[in-house]
Amino acid sequence: MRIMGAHTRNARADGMVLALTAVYLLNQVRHTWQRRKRWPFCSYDMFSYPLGTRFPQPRVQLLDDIGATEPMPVYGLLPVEFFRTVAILDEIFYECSDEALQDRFADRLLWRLNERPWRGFDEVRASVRPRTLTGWTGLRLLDVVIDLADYDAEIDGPLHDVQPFYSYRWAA
Amino acid sequence: MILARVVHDLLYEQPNAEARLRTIRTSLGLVGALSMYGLPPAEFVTAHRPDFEQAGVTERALPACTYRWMKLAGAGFGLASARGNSAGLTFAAALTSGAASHTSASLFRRLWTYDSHVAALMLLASLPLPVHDLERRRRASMMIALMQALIGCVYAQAALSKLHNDPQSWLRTGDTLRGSVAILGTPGARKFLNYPKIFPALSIGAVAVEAVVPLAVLGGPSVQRYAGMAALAFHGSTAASMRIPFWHLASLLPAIFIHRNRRERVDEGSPK
Repeated sequence: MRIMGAHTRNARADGMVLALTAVYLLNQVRHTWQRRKRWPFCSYDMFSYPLGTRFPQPRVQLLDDIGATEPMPVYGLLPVEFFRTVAILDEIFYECSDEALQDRFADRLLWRLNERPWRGFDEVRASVRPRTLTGWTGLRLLDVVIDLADYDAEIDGPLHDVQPFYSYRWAA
Repeated sequence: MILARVVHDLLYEQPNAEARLRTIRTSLGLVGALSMYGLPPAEFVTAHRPDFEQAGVTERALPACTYRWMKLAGAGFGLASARGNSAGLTFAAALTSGAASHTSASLFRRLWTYDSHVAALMLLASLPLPVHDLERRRRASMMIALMQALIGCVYAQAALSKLHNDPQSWLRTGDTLRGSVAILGTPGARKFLNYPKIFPALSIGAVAVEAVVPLAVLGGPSVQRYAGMAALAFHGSTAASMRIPFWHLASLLPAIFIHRNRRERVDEGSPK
């Protein structure tokens, strides 16, 4: 009797695990179809949004005693995966209109680049290292357009329709 | 009838399930521990949570201090569970690493939770095994089958999203892949930008791999092994071309799809 009881309990537990997994998988697919992400569900829609042959991209110029860097990808500005960096900067500096918040964010970002540099790991790109002892003192975010017809990836250019949309500089 | 038989075998007749489950727990423990290293530092959470709250983009999550401890505990339990024989340690690793991963994802609601499958797989791998031999094998087999289904679902989702959101590019023009290589590509991959005509074929090939792997889950051990190798080659190519290895999934493929131990190979060669 005791063995039968354990057998029934195990069969029931297996059935419950099967049902819960099925619900989880269905929810996963639903998130893909609805383009939603909510932990622990993920749409896994990497590279599924159209880029076309001409598309906008963010770029940054970092400022220091020497001057401004060439425009570069923004991936090394935050210690999170490169695509998350783009999403965060987009939300804070593009979607949000609170200038005090933007300046506070930029201030902390520059502090981290100077004081807490990080190494690259997986899709987290290494931080942009300072060129001088005083470190980075400002940043300028740019909106640019890449046209695959003439884009040379080796030099990251030419960049079209360059529009600065945010800049910040530490007070001297 | 045939499908029912296939599903039954897949669920309850996985060869050498108990030994494979130990190997899977080992892989999961190591992947879980390493994935904690990849999460943002607690300083990032402390510094920016007020900004994200003010911008209205954050959701409820752990405080930075708890987050730091969850990361450490997730890494510790992950390493400890890598011995492969403790469901309890795997469960602890699933909970702590899951909590840290959830905090990272909730801090900013647009952050993609693209590695949450690790916690889900750990949770499955942490089911306790019954005492009775036959039931132990059945439970271990079912756990492996569900993990295979979960991974198959990830590939199916990747294919579905491309066909749902951008079919024109992924099945015809190849523009999205070409643009992605332009902005993310390694120096070697960027050379291919001079040959735009190959991108439609590469795009179709990528979607084909992602669509075939889930079907291969139903195909039995041999088909699964080849599908696992194809998926590994696929991840190798994305690592080489765009520095995106998707290692937290790719490194689980050998244990869940490819690995077979010696006893199983001997059994296959002996008379039935």
